[in-house]
Amino acid sequence: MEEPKDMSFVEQFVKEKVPDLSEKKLEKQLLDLYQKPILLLSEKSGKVKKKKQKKSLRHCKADLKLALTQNSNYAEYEPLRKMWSEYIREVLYVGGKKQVDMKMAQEVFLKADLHGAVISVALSNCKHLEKMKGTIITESKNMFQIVTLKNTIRNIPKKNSVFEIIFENLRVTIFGDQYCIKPSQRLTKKFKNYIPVLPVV
Amino acid sequence: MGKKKGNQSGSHLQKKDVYQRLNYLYQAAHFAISMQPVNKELSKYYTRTMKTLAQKNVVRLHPHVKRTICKHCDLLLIPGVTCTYRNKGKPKQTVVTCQGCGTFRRYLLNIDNKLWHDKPENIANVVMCNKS
Repeated sequence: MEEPKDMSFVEQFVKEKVPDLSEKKLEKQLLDLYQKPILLLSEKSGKVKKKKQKKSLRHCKADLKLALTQNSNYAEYEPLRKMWSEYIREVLYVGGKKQVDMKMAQEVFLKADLHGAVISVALSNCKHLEKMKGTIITESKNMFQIVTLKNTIRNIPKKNSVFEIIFENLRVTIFGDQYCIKPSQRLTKKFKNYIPVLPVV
Repeated sequence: MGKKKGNQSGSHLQKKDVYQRLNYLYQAAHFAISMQPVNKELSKYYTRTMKTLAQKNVVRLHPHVKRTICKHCDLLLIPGVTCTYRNKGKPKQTVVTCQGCGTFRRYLLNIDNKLWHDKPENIANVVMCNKS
């Protein structure tokens, strides 16, 4: 193959970019450039293995958000509410008795699962958060996720508000300031026995 | 859920509330898949809280329950809906592949293979949680 006319440009280019080449290597490099064919596109044959990594919590939460926008019908969650009321009936009425132990009821509601309960906000600092009502879908350290009666999904922070759950004869008030714990850790934690300062009405 | 082994005090169960809560979450995960359109992310969320609950309170899950949950992405494995069952080559085995993430699990088909939990000699006591 004949060397092209602008060979000096290529030599200068190589010397600039790779300054530490000895003479032998320079010659080899230039020979390769002129004589070997260079493939610009390469088709890889065979399967490409993907590395499987566990999705971080951030990804999972973003996926949940997307998926829940399709499922925001209040009437669809009826079976969840029935299951929750049956579950709590088992836990409250221990041993087939017909009356509820009021002392036991406090501990029960502290440790119980709240997914699927009908909850309403009684008092809070934010005025537009009051009179929110709905069923709980997810629960995290600081927030509740609720499906409202108007078929929307709302995130409600736990701090600075007081919640209410009504179940048959009982009415349970929950102070949100002291409830800011992950649901999996709530079983082992002991709660302090005092009423905090209520949010300003 | 976990079976009680070797306790001689009869029908008294420690950590009964934990078992009831795990049971409820498992049923809620089944409900989340039965909705239309299918909501896989919600059921993943419920099984994940189930696992962290069992971990924090030092409670073991029964292996039959663990086999219906994908190890990588925590999906409920229901044949036909979220996973596929296939029988394959030598030595003969069933392969269960999760449709969400692609991880598979292999079970060898052998008559002598039995779980320790399934043998009737190893069960000391069976306690029913519903008292009604």
